[in-house]
Amino acid sequence: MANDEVGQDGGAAPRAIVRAKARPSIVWLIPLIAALVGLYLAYWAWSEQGPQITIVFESAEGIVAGQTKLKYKEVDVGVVETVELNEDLSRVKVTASMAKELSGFLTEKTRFWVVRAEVSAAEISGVDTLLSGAYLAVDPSSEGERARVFEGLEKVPVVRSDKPGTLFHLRAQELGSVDVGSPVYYRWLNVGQIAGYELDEAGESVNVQVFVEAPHDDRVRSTTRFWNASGLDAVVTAEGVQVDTPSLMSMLVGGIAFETPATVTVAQDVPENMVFELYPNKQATRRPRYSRKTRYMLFFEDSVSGLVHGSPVEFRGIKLGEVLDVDIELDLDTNEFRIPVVIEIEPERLGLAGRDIKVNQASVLKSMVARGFRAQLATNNIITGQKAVAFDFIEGAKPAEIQFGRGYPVLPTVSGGLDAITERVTGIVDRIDKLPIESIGENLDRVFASLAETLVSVEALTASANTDLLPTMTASLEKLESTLASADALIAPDSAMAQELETLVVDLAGAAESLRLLAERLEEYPEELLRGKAE
Amino acid sequence: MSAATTDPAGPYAQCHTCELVVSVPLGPIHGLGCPRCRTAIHRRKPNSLARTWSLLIAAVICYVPANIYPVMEVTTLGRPQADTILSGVVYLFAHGMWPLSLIVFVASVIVPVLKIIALGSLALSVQRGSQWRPHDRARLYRVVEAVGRWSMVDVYVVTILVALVNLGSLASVEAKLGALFFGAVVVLTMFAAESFDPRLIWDQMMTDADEGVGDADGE
Repeated sequence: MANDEVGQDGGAAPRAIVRAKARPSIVWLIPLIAALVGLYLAYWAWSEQGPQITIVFESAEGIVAGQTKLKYKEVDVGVVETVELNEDLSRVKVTASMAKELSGFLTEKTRFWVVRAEVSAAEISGVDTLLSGAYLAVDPSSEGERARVFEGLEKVPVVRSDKPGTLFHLRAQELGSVDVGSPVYYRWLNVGQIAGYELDEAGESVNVQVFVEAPHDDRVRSTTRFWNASGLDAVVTAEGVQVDTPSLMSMLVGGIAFETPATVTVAQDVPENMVFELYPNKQATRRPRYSRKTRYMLFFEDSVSGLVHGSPVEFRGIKLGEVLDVDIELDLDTNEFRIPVVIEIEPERLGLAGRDIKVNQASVLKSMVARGFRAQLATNNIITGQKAVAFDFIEGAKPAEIQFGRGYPVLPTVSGGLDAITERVTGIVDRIDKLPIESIGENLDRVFASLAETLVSVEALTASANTDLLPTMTASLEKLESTLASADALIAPDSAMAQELETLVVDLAGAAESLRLLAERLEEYPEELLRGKAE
Repeated sequence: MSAATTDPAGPYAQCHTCELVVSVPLGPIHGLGCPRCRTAIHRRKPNSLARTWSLLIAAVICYVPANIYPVMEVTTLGRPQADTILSGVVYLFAHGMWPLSLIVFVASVIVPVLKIIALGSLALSVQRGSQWRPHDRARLYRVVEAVGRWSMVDVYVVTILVALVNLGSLASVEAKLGALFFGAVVVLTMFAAESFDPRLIWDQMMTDADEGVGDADGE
């Protein structure tokens, strides 16, 4: 074949051949495109892949691997990959792959909770999850350390980063009928929720956290008063009965309301870590109770009759606090009885409010005690004999100090009753000393002399009376006697006048009887007045 | 050499469209058309091996996302459940519907994989000039060509479900990315099978016959 081609022109130059095209077939574009699409998909999947996280829950109720979504503001930000028990089977480990955008917001402050349909008296929430199934809600936070393992919350948190507002701390004697999620009212406007509550360390009060949404959180000032708005509030005043009913809702589910009344103290911005008092009702907010209370012990030796739980503790007539407990104990060392009294003082009443009392209260009190600050028993009400503990600066009091070690600091006392008596007796003696006894004696002498003169003239007067007055008096008496005799005759039982009076009385009785009959008849047959008696 | 064969360099060629056998000059032919239907005349399907290979490679590439991505998403009462081919098979099997599971498994997993392997080995054997069991290889090609379209069953099921189950929030079916790739795999393998010319198997035997058995034939 090659010989044919070369030798056609008898040894002349060989003919050029058509060079085979080395160009690859266009059909290879198809796998190329497929590969490009595949690579693009791989890149897309890789670039979209966010961090893998683990959330630990108490229970996996409603969480399905591969299906349950993670949502923030109702936007899908991830999906649950696996749901498994942890090593000791105590909890559930949920792993989820998150969207890439969230990778910078997964820190130790980020919170997760399960949103399920919930029906309570306050609200019905998560109805959409009835059909779509539960989902995990995310509250992203960019603060704090990056984290990949999280503790899931069992309850929907009230404070969330997507809801601006402020958390306030309240202290209550009793929780009342509020619960987490109960509304917070300002002028009966729902402006927040109760975020949580717990007993304080000592178990003496309940700390309640209240979340007030922006912009209403600006309404809470340092003088704002919170009260428990659940239930009915009826007050009897001079103007009548006043019934304060909150909305039906808060009667059912409870709630907390607040108001900033006009007070002597100027309202300021709420300082950090301020704890408000939670009053049991609105009425109670008008009798401010101070949240900061310190307890002291006093020892009295004289009778405390009239001092009971609730008796006032006063300083110059202004109530500082009240007596909590009165007891008696035998001091075995001295074989003497003494009476320990526990009092509660609200130091804020001393005008120290607003400052950090805890730091300097002890030192302030110490210097006050050094200046003679003593407690004593005072009778508050003379008629009922109620007593009070009165504090004052007593000059010349025996030096004393605050003692510690009995659970409460012990403040020094002065024996109120005895001291006062001694003082008064001294005063009386002083006054007696100052009396001008000698001049009094002289005056008395003079008085006695004039008295003797007076007596002489009295004697003379009596003598003249004997001679002038007596005869006239005798005649008058005789006349009176005869008048009385004739009067006697007139009203004697057998006299004519008496008999006439008797018959008159009998007639009158008869007339009255017939009148009564007539009246009864007329009542029965009133028509007889017009028609006459019907026969 | 029998007169009726359309061997690679012989005087006859067959129209691909109307299958009319026409006589052509010896050597490479260009620009000739079928006298009956005007289709371009080639002795063999042009560029057959390259096309088969490229389409087959594209199918293999597409087979990866077809299995990774979900084929469809069934939303029942707002609860979406996305299934890939294999997870669907597992789901059906786990729920006791094993015959159905078997059908899906055969139609969607075994058949495409076998088809790809069969076509690949056919193309490879032709490329290497193998003379091994030509009849079996020809039968294999016929099976591949016949069975290819049945893999589309899956795609049809998805499209029918998407159209039928559309009850708003109660239930709805949505086709997902995996279905697209799976469809692409089926279509690409069908094209690959179509572009493969089974006569190439026999061409190998022809060259063999020319060299060795040719004398016995040419009497």
